Amino acid sequence: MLCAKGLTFSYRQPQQQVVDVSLQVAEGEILGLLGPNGAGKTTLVSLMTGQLTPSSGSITLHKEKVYLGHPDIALVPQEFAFYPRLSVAENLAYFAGVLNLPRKIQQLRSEHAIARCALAEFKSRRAGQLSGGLKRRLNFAIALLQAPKLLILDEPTANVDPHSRAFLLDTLRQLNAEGTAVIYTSHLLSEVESLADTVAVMDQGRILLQGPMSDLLNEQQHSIYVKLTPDPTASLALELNGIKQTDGWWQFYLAGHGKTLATVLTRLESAGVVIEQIRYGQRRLEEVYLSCISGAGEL
Amino acid sequence: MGALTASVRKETLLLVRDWHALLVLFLMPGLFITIMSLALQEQLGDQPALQLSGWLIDNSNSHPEFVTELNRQEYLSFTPTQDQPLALSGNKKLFSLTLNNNFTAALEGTSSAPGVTLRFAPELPQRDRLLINAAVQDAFARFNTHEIALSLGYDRSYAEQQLLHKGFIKTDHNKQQSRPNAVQQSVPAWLIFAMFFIAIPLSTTVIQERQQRTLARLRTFGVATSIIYGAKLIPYFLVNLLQLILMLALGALLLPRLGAEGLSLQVNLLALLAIGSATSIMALAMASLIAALARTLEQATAISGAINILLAAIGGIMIPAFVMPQTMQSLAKLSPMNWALEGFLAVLVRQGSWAEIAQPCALLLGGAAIAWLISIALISRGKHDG
Repeated sequence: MLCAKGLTFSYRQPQQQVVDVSLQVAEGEILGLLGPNGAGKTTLVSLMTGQLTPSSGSITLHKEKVYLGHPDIALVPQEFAFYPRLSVAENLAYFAGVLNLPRKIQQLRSEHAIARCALAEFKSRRAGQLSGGLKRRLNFAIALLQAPKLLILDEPTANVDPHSRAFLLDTLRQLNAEGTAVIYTSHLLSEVESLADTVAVMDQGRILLQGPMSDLLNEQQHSIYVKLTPDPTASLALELNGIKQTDGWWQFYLAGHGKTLATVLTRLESAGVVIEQIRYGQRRLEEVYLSCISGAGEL
Repeated sequence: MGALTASVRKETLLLVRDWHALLVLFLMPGLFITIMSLALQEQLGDQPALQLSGWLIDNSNSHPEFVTELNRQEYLSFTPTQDQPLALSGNKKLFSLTLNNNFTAALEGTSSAPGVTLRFAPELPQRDRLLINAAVQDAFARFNTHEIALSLGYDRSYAEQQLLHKGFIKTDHNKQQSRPNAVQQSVPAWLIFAMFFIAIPLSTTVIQERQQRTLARLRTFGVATSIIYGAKLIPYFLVNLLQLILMLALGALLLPRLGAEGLSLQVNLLALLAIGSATSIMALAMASLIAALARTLEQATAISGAINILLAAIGGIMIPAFVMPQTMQSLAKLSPMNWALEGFLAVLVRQGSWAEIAQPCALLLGGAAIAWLISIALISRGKHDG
């Protein structure tokens, strides 16, 4: 669906740039775009929405070059990009109005966006008087007016209470289930982990890692979780790189420590520790992200 | 609803809900006009007719024609008396004129003593003394000419037409040189000042949109830059016209009730509308330029305020240009506010025709075109900079 190839862009400031970035977003897919501050995520979003023109490379949507104002692409910016002195309904009416659609369709889209974002009871309230969570919802609702095929969200849950965050993520899942592709940039790895089908990690303008979420998390069976009776001694735990988790399971790190499942289990049994249950560990996205960023020598 | 209609509606709602802007745009000029019209009433008001009163002591009792000529003098009024008053300033008679008893002899050249003696109160200004002297000389010249003509067998009409050449000197009250009174100066001056103050709310909305990324969002909605900016200009142009109507109404209807002279609107109202529109277009262009130049709200407010006050100070808004020294008057011609004021004064004071407002209108529209070209260049550059 969206295909970016070899994108490069440079501002006057050298630290804000995008270097040779290639990305793909398939129909109905959610791409999580991760990276520290200044990684170039917002610049990449601006390139993907046509606000900036790459100095080299190309971006296409359905094989058509992406341009500013593409009707199939909607952006939810980080900032509250609406008018605080207008009411919720007036904001939506205005943004629907500038789409140059027939009046009936404008009304339908406004009503749909209000319903989708549960803003009905706040319709007549001035946008500037809404809570942070409701402002995020309005910011999101405005993008829905475009009925996009690709929705790009730039840190949409910054400074949002957990309830509103959960609401927003649920709404995104619904939209995605209805066929809308999503690009979601965030600092909150747990959000991306729970939402995204694919992940791209970006730093210093470059994509360091990208791929399906399941592949990244299962890339290496790098640890095992074991229920033991009794607990191993502290020296044994240290020898086997084991840490007791709060849920009572012991995690033993294999990767990077020259251990295999067999050597760990044999050593435990020889020390008189009974193995009651065992499962392979799955990496958390946070670990993938941190190893990726620290591997690049930056954080 | 099309993009332009929706945008104009939005801008209007934003402006109507901005109470600070409305106070600056309507209340401030209203107060300035009222205060300055009343304060400058004496300085710029019509001067009362000059009338210098004095005593006339006719000791000659032989030449009533000379007394008649004296009484014809426009600025002098005489009260006959028999005795020379001791003090001249006590009863507002600031001079005395005595026809001496040797008046006839002096006239015939048989006496070297003066035929007429003038005395002035000590406080009478030199200018008034010279004026009285000139008036008496004029009366005497007329009287003597008639006397000579009659002695040569001509009548008074011959003396008047052939010797005095009645109508030879004509005072032309040049319309171009007419000075405005306090209301005629204050109403357009502070109206123009307020019209240019739209720079603050207009540039503020542009910068807020830029900072909050609403502008970027609108572009992703496919809204053309010309519509985004063009839609801002329409409501502000209408606000400028509303300012024009309200401030003129204030001058014509309210100020007379407060004791100031009323502003006469028996003028070419269409010409007034034309100069008002040209002023608004220049003010909108200035506002656009400031919006393009400023990066923050603080910058926009400071630049707008400073530029407006500077242009007003040099442009004859705060102090009328005609009371400034010549150098400052030349400097005033550089201010767009002065171009606008000249246009308004041409209509309101001199009942000027379209030809008389053509130059101010051309200057305003030319200045606006330049300001807009610079703004467009800056906005385009900013767009590419991201």
